[in-house]
Amino acid sequence: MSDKQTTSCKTADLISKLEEAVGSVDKDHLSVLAKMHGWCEALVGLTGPDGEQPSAEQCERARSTGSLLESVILGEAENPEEVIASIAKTIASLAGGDAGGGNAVAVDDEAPAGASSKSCSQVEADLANIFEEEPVAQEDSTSLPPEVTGQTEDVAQGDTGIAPETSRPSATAAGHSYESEPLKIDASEIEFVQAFTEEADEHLESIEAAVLGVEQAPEDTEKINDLFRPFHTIKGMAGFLNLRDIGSLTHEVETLIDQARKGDRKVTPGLIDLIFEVVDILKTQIGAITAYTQDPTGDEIPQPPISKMVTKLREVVAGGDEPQGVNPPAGGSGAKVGENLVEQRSVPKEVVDFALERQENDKPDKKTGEILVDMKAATPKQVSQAIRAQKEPSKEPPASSKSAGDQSVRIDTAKLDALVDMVGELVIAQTQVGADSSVLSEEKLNKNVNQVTKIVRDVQEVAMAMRMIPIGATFQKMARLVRDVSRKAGKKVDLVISGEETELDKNVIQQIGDPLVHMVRNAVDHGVESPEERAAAGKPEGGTVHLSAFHHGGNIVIEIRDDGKGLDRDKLIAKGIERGIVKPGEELTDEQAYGLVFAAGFSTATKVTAISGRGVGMDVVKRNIEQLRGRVDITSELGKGSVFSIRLPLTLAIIDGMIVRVGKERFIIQTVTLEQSLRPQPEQITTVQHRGEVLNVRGRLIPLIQLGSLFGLTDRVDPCEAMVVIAQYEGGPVGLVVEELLGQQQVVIKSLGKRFEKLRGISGAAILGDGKIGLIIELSGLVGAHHNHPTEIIRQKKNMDLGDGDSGTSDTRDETVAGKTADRNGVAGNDPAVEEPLLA
Amino acid sequence: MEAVAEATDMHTEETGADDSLGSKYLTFTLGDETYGVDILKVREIIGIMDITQVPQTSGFVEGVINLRGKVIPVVDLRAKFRLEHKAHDQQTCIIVVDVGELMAIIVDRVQQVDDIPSENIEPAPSLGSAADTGLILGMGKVGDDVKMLLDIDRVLTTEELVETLGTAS
Repeated sequence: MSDKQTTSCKTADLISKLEEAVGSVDKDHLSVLAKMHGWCEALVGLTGPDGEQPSAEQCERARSTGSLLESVILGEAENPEEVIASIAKTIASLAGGDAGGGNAVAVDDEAPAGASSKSCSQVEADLANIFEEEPVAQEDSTSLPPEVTGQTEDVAQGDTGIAPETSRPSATAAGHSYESEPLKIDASEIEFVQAFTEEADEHLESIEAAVLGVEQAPEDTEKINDLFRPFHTIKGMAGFLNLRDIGSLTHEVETLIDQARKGDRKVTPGLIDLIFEVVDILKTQIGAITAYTQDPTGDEIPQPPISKMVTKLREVVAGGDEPQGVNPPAGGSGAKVGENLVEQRSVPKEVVDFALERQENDKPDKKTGEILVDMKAATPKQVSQAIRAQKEPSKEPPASSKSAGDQSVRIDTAKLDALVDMVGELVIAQTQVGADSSVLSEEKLNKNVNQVTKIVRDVQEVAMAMRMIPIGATFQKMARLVRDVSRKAGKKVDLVISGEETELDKNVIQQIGDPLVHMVRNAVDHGVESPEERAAAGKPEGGTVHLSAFHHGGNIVIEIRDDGKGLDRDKLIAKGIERGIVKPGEELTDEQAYGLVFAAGFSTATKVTAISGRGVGMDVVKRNIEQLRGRVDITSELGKGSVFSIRLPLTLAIIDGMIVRVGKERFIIQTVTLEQSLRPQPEQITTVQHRGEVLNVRGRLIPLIQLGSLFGLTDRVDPCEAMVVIAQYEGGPVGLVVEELLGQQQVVIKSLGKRFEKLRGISGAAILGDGKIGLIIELSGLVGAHHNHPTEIIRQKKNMDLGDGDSGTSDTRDETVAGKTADRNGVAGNDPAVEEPLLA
Repeated sequence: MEAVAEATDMHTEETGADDSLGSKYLTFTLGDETYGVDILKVREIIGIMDITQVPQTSGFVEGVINLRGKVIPVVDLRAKFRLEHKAHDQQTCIIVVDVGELMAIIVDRVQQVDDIPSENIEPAPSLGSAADTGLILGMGKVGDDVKMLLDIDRVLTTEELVETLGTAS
């Protein structure tokens, strides 16, 4: 509000204007009230040569008057006439103080403080009276004992929206203090609270972005509105759920922002910092609540310093004490934001250069800071400090960025899953229609069916895409983790993030968080050396951890790359021998050696730190990733660093599979695990003690598993007359002997249900193109089953059921099974699957 | 199928709070024995179709079928009751039942829906340890016939479908 026109006005002018106005004003004369409000504000903000500057006391009174006026304007005051009367008094005292100080305001400072300070305290008392009486009277709680009054006061606040809370009899200074209460969540409300925390997280994210916007264009009320709205939403939801602390906190900060919105308060660096602090506290609190809702058995929700913060905010709101802005670290005035960030050591220069390049190339309308924040290279707070250091008045007109309002709808994931399932069925049904001979023979019908096929494919794509969300938010959490861990470990580590726009299935994102935390933490704690070690090794003191996500061959790859000391092969193997995981003298490939880090209880850290080194975690990491049907590859170079790449399927609902035939059944092997398939030559096969077979592929010995006999579907087949599919699992390669490869296909994964949970080697089922079911092979379970039971269990069992007393020879058993199978096929009128065409 | 659904509706209207055994039963045969299943448990009756074998399962598990996109375990009721195996024929049926989850049973032939009032139901006779009568709710008399009314939940859920590898060898 410190416009140029008003700054030229003298204090005296303003006061006389106020005097004039207050004499005739009525509570309904909003325009006059607003003008007065503006004058008060102008008075407070007046700076200038001697003679034009109001005294501190005048400022104080003008400010109080301003907030009183505001309450009248907003209709928040219980008794506007009274308030106006009080305002009149204040203004009179303003004028009086002025007069008492002599003709020139300039001498006020030297003037004996007595008279003016006395009148000032009177005014304060008046003001306090007004604030004190109103909320209490409104709540009809005057008669209640003090403790009860204390509890209701927040309700009153929430309702009236009047900022300073002074209903405690203990008067002004202590009046702002706030006691937070232990948080209780009713069991019946947990569901709502969960929804709340989810939404609140999103709002907090938008707040961070909005704060930056406000800082860059403090005059732009639209930006302030952007900031105000999410806080308001959080407050509303918190109030509904009785989350009193969050309600109070957001209420106070909302008041503050509201003041800024109305022009009653300037957007100062201090204010921005304060809002960031509030955001941090809210994040902590909401995090704690989330944890509680997930596991309500915990006794108490840990409390961040909410009460302190609310008290602080109230003081600021009421007293108008400008919070002290954090002085940004040196950075020349007029310097560019990027340069400042580099000087502040917040962001490496390369990153800033990259951001600048990006700004030039594709985002000319975006600011360097925004791009950096987008890239997650800098936190909003860092950027805002850098902008402050810039000290350049923002010359650009307020950006006319319309808040586009995210065009999104929340949908229950169960519904999405059902949709994806149904679309899968649709695709299969559609394929069946397309393959029908009568369709193929009718040209026109064929054309139409093809058209429908295309549409169905599109529908499938869209359905799949609906489940996808960008991984950026997960990465951003890692940024914070790296900061914390590196600080704790006394290291300098920069996290460079790329590919945060890469989209993954929502379920994958949810489940990849924990493994990522472990791995990033390991990279910082184990991977990157201490600054001294790095200096000794001739590396820059600060280490870098790159976290990136990208598409690669139908998969998503998340890569964690550090420039630390790398994995020590020999040390790993030595440790493996010590733990009995590796036999002495055993030759390990690099892959196998690095894979040892995933063994349970394995840790190469010589000392256990608070952060890591206990060896718990990496085995869990591996298991989690495998549950997501992904895998982890490690490459490393001693002294240079390591790369952990997590390969994940795009979605959990669909896999790319190789369909193989065994007997009359078809199985699906995940393409991602496949290495090659071949028809071996007899000399490549070696039998081991007549119990197992090994395939020699260019010197590599690969154990073979007879899928058919292991599953009791067929007799042992000669690998040389069948196909061997070589697949990778965590224990190395394994060759599956199958009768035929039927081709590659994307399949929608179906669960076999909990009754089949204990199956080993089978992870699910898929409905194939002809509507029949194929089972999906899970390699590590399969190998486990193979190891435990080199002789097949199924045959024996089938015998038993069919009532053949003793288990006969393997030949007769197989016949029985085959016979049973044949019966069934005869009846169903279907040829055995051998000839079944695989849908394209 | 429609008849079944209709019967289900009628049943709900008629009996309501009556929790005695008197009810409508879908009856079917296994060999020369006739069984009944509470019609409320029945979801669907389908002809025999392709069944995918699932390894490591108990002998009475025939495999899984695709019921309009749902993968459902199928139990061969003959095998379950240790009757001798019989080739499937035109009359072999799959009855899909809801026992908390959907499961299917293979029976020789589906007969009809019988309304069996509770006074016509007698407790299952004790036949010694040879027959597991715990799976039978009672003996329903319809005219001169006697139908064994199955507690289909117990039939399908008391035994593990998967042979745990430990017990196998």
